[in-house]
Amino acid sequence: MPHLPITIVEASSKGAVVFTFGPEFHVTDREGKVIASTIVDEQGGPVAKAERSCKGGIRAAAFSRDGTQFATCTVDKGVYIYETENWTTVRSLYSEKRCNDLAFDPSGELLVTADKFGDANWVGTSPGASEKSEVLLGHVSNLCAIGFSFNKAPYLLTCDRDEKLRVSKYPNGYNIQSFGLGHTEFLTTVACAPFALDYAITGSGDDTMRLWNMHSGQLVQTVELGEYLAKYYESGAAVCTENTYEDRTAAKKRYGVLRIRAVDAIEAFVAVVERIPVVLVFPFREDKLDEPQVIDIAHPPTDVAVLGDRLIVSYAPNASGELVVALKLDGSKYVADDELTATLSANVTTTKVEDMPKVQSIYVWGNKMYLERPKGEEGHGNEDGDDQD
Amino acid sequence: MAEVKKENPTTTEQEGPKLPQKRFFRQRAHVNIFNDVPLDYPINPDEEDWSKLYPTYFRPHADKHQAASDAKRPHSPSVDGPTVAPAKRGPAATAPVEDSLAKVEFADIGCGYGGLLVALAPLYPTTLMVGMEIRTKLVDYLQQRIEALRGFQRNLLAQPGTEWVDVNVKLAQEVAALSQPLAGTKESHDTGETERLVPGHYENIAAMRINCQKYLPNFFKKGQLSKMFVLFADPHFKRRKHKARIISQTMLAEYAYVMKTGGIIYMITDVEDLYNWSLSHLDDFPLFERIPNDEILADPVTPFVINSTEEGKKVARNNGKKYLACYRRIEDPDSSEAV
Repeated sequence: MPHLPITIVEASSKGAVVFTFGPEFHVTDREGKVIASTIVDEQGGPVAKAERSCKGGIRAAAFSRDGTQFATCTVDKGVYIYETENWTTVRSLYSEKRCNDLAFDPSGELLVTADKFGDANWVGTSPGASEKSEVLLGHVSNLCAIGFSFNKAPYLLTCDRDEKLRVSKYPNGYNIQSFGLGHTEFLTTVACAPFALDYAITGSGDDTMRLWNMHSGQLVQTVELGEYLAKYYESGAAVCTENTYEDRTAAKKRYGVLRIRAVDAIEAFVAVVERIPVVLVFPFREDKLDEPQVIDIAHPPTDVAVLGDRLIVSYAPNASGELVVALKLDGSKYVADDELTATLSANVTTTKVEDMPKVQSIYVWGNKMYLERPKGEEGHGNEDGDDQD
Repeated sequence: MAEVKKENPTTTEQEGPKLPQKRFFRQRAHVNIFNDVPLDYPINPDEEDWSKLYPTYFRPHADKHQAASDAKRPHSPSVDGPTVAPAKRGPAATAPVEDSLAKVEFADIGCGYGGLLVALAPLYPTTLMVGMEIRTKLVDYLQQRIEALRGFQRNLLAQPGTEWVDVNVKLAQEVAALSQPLAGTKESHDTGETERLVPGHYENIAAMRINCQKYLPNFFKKGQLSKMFVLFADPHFKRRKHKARIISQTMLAEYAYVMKTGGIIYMITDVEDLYNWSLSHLDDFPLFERIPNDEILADPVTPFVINSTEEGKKVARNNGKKYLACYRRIEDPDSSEAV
């Protein structure tokens, strides 16, 4: 029987790696040994039991910068904050609206959530903090991704479905530093790095990644992903069957960016793209994204995490039932890390399901053409205030 | 901008320019700002071709740089779906050369039939003002009206010895007229001179269709606006619709972004609840500061804010109360502003 795919991989600065699937997750150490899980009995051994979400599948997850805290948000508006020593729940609360992403602020004292009604809310992470979250800022759009810069006076970066990157000061989020305007479709991900202090990199459904100067909002560079990835459609390696993605326009050639993350160890940015079985590593040189290393992997990815100088990629559902692959540096190039891959494959297993599961394409929620959506979902994401109050 | 198809006033030389009739442009008041209605908006302010709205002030983009016409604009929703040309889309990485000193400085958010713009145009004859409205019919009406007024002005300029209007006298007459009972069912006509010359000749005002709450930064750069007007906004009484109000806690950040330090936001309404609600957010917002009443009354714009719009006149006719408040954009008092 097939297994649920891993949809999110998050790695902490302390070397813990979280793999989420549905409402569950496993946590491994940097060698791939499971140290905590929401499903303990299946794992056995000295594994910490983490509270499972009782509020539906996990939609986003994040570690604090120091790696001592971890948080998830779920499709049913649940928000969970864990400490990472014993993986006990520090706080669990309901957000007023469904959150699409979340991030700890640089100090780790506050957790900022980004909801589908365009508001970013903050809530205290300590057990004694106020239960109630407060509005920090808001877009009139869906928020899709959120992040913090590494400047001394940090910026809060919020990405919305209406092509906008907003750069706000933090904690005074009412003061907008700039807008990054240039994408022609919804944004999906944003990355900052200590080695690129003035810059933010965004990914979008418009087949590009863009590099912005955060202070001015100026578009510095546009990476057309088709230049590197068109051949995967030509060779048939790109998976675009409706069996894998719930997406009515699956036959079209698209390069929707799923995730961009900084690889501090080699001063590079790594990106994964929906349907295309590759990992792209762009060295950051002279304030630009250099030509990427394009690393072939066995199946299309769902996410990528950065564990020191290693990369851990989760796979979309595939016939061979593989869930993850690890990559390691060989000189300046990434190659498969067979040892870690084998350990992870042995240790990280997910829930069994009857049928081969599907992954929802980013174009389903990102596309403004609601009529294209599957029956019964037309109103999804169309904030007519229906689930407010 | 909305594609406004209208008869060009200059082509109907025999009959002269024609003012549009308001009764053909009625539209219900409420629009859901969260809905994705087809709108045309630029990727960023540099891509906006203002020459369509202010032909005397801007050269068309095509002359300026070919890139603009090649740039694909995002659509909401996309007209052709996600089938977009492969590679090379979006603007060039380098910003186009800015060769015009002209820029829009006043914005009337939710301008309706544009009474304020038409009244203000002669008072600030060299300041570009834009009316932003989400309802198509009203935008069509206003843009046709402005183009007709421009046509009248051009014709008048061709006749030597035409009288110039004194804007202050005219305003005083208008305010006085408001106290008169409404004459039958006759359609009230907006301000706008068709027989005398006015400073600026209405070349400095225009209307565009836009969802201000979604796309304001696509049109205006940081600190571009010196005045912003929110006159008789949709009150959105239901609590769950409060996020849709033009003045809300989160929208104020975007208004502060497009306004320059010292710029003024004018807010007036006949709904006391909305007034109190707006004030509570404006008072709490660190980048705006309330302007004292005596200063507001000395502001030459204030009488126009109170009286020149269709809503303002309607409220006056019904002896309704109007609530006015003005706020100034100030520097961030938070010391952490220093980077």
